[in-house]
Amino acid sequence: MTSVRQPEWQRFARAKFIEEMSNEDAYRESGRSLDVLRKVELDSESFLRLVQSLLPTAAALVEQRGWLEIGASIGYFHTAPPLDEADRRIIFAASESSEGLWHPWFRRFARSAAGGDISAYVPETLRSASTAALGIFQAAFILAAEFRDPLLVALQRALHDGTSVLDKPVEPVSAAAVFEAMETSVDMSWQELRSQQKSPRLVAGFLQLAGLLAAFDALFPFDNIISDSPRPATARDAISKMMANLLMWRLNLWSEVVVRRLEVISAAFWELCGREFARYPELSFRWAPQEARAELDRLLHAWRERSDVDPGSPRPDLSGIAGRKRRTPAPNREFSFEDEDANAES
Amino acid sequence: MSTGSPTARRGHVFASVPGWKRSFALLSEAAADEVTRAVVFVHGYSGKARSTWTDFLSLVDDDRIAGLWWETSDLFFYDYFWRSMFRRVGENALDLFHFVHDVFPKPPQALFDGGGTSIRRDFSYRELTLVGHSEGGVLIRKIILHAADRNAPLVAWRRTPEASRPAVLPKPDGILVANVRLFAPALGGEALAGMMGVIASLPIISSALHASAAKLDLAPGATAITSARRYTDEWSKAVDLECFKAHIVWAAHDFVVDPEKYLDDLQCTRSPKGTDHASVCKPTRQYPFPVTFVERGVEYDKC
Repeated sequence: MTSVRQPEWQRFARAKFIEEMSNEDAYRESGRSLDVLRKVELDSESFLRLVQSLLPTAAALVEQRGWLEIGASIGYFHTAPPLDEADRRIIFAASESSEGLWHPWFRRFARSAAGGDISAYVPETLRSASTAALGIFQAAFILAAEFRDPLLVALQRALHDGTSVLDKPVEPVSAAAVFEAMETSVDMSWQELRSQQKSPRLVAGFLQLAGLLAAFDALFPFDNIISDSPRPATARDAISKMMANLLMWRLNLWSEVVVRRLEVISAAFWELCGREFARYPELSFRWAPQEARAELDRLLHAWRERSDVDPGSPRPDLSGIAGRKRRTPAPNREFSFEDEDANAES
Repeated sequence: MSTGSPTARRGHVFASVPGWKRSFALLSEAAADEVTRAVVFVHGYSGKARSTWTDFLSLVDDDRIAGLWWETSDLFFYDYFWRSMFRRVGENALDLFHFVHDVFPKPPQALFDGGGTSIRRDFSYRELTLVGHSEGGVLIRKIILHAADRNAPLVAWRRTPEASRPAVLPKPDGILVANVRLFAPALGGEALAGMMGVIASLPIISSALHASAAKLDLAPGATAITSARRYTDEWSKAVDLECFKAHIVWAAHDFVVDPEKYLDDLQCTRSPKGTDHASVCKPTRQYPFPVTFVERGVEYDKC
């Protein structure tokens, strides 16, 4: 069923989107650096170098622009606000200086966004999208904001920065240290969180990442796409692909470096899980590590495979992140009720 | 299910809730006089407003899943992720009370202002549905008790000897008009807290838990848990209000909470197959049950 969004609702929706994209978390992530980039007066070459040193800030700007431009293209709002000259300059410079660092789709998209025309990135099926499709787009936007959680931002930077504490194995982390990292994160400035890549904080960020990947999986179920039989693309599929491309800079599983660093932090995570379960042998339940690893493996593959890949691009092996080598099929998600007897047993 | 309007489907529009960081609303695009209901979602221990309830976020706008009830409801997703781990249940309940009090029955005007327009003015809801997952269920029970204790006419009515009580119960207002829907609520206590609770609540771990031979839980008989039960049962015996009768669905495989209900609660006699503590409240196109359950609750023991 098609959507007939009234103009005043479109204006309202756009204002609320912009408000969300400039809230405290967003400012802590990239606002301060963006202010610098917008005001600095440098020659082209120096500006290019400065932008290259602040690529995550520029990527956050491209992502924001993506939400607005795609939202306007599918009818979530009427138009995106115009891109001002300072932001256009930043995005152009970033697209020029990010070769090999950004996912190719994201780089091309940045260039198009700076040029003011992203129409090639919005499939025909989403023009004048249905109410249900607008709801899916909106849900993706709501979930994507979780990437700006301070601990998750710290993890993203440790995964993507030029140098990282995750370039070598990390010591095992205690449950108390991870818990403390979560507790103190609320009182720390984001600058502190980012500059001090401490492994308990990064494990805390990994915990959040695992939860967020599961939430994206609920919004964009991947079971059918990774099976052998292709099916017609739905609006949900199309939005899934656009969102995956737009967010890949935050968790670029096409990058060997990122995958290797994820292996390092996930090893600390799995070790922590094993130790915690071993601490409580009196519990009425036990965990099946292989099942948990298989589920993480599935979520990681789903995250990566939703996005576009350039032909010939390397496809890093993700199995090391889950500490396993083979993928198992996704669980059967058909819905029914348990038999009463079976339920009583459980 | 398709009970939607014959004209174009009215969707929901995202808005942050003024004064409540990371909490947000989905506001119905239906005409103001059609929107009568607020539905407030409360996540559990170490959960989040954005990720706990996926994919309610988009399915409420899908004709094939959600009907007119959803089309004309505003949804509020309350977030207390950090406080769920580092603050006491009682404090968190008070915070939730203030949140619900802020949005129901009369939400702040700033919620409806944006883009140089006001999409509604001088607006109030008439109905309230409170939806909780895990510890969120306990918080909901506690704020209902708090509201009841603050309602002077109701307290006076209850204290009046039965023989001399007016026949008609004072009309409830505010939170006391709520319907309550709970997914795997921690009414009998949570087996785990601290880091272990965080780990066990992760979807990738929650789906990989199995029963062991040992049967000794860590479940504490915490005062916050036992007092909520005792007072709710006392109120429920004294007054006949829907808010004291939660409708409950349990996960098929749950090792995080004990499946205990209060005296007058209604529970599904069967659990949705394949669900665990984390997934029971997460609807998908293949598992639309949570959407239906929030709308209809338990009818004649069936869900």
